[in-house]
Amino acid sequence: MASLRILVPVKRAIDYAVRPRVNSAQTAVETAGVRHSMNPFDEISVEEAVKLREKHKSAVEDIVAVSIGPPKTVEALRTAMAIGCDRSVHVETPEAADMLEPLQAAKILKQVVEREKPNLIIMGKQSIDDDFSQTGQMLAGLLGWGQAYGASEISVDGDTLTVRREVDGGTDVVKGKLPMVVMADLRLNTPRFATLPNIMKAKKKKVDKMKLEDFKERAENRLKTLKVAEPPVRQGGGTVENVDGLISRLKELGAL
Amino acid sequence: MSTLRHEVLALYKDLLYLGRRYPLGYPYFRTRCHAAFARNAGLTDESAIRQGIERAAFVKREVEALYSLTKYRAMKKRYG
Repeated sequence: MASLRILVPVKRAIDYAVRPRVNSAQTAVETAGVRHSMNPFDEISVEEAVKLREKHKSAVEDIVAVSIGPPKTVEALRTAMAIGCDRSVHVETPEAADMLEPLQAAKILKQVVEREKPNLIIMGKQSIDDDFSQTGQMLAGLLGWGQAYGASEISVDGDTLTVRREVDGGTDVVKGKLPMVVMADLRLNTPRFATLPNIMKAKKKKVDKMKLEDFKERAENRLKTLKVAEPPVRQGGGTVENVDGLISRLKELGAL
Repeated sequence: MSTLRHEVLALYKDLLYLGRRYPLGYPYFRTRCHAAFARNAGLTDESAIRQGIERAAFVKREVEALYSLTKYRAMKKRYG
């Protein structure tokens, strides 16, 4: 069996349970003082990497988590290492900087890949904060690797990977040779809980720090946010007395 | 005996750590968790203590399951 070196890109996003609020300037979603956690889809991909190691003991050589973001992103990396990654790479961005767009993230990840030399990348299919769902595909394109989007089952045999994908109205099975990029869907597995002792142990694992300036190839953000607003509040419905009332109301509204 | 004490304390710590994200709030969880441990503080019989540990471990698993289920359901609702 070929040795697997797995890279797991993760993102620290606003916690799924938090209701996002638009900031007063209407330029973005309020992030200061809001609870953050690892993007749920990334949690699933970390779990899958660890599961692969449990299944094929000697084959998995290395599991590296990588994240791009402000200093606090280290928390997400620690959670990843608490679940079972061996070490991690943190590409630090300035605290107040705009979030990177998928192409930029993919270009940076590509250079991390060239440095770490993994042959399998498992990442979440999208992050729950900006919902682009593009980084993985772009990364695979830039690297010229095969890709499988929305994986719900992964099996490794030698250097071939069989991935069951969730598509509309059924499943799709794809087979490919390593190296490959796999993007995890919701039903791939159930992520384990990062326990307190494991989080403590993860503090001893290595985090390589890198700066955005360390990367030669970079793109600029191309999108300009004009305005961010809350969705309109739903107008309450009214009640009608009886069937006649309903009919006359429908006629009034022009539905009949 | 001292190893049992260790196990109990470790479980208590784990539970408190889990409780930080409890839907009804940390104070709710902490007071109840503390009371449950305090109720059994006087246990001296080894098998009774082991039973208590078993029960705490069960509660811990349940709380973990509660969290992962709420997360799964929220994600499923949003992304299918």
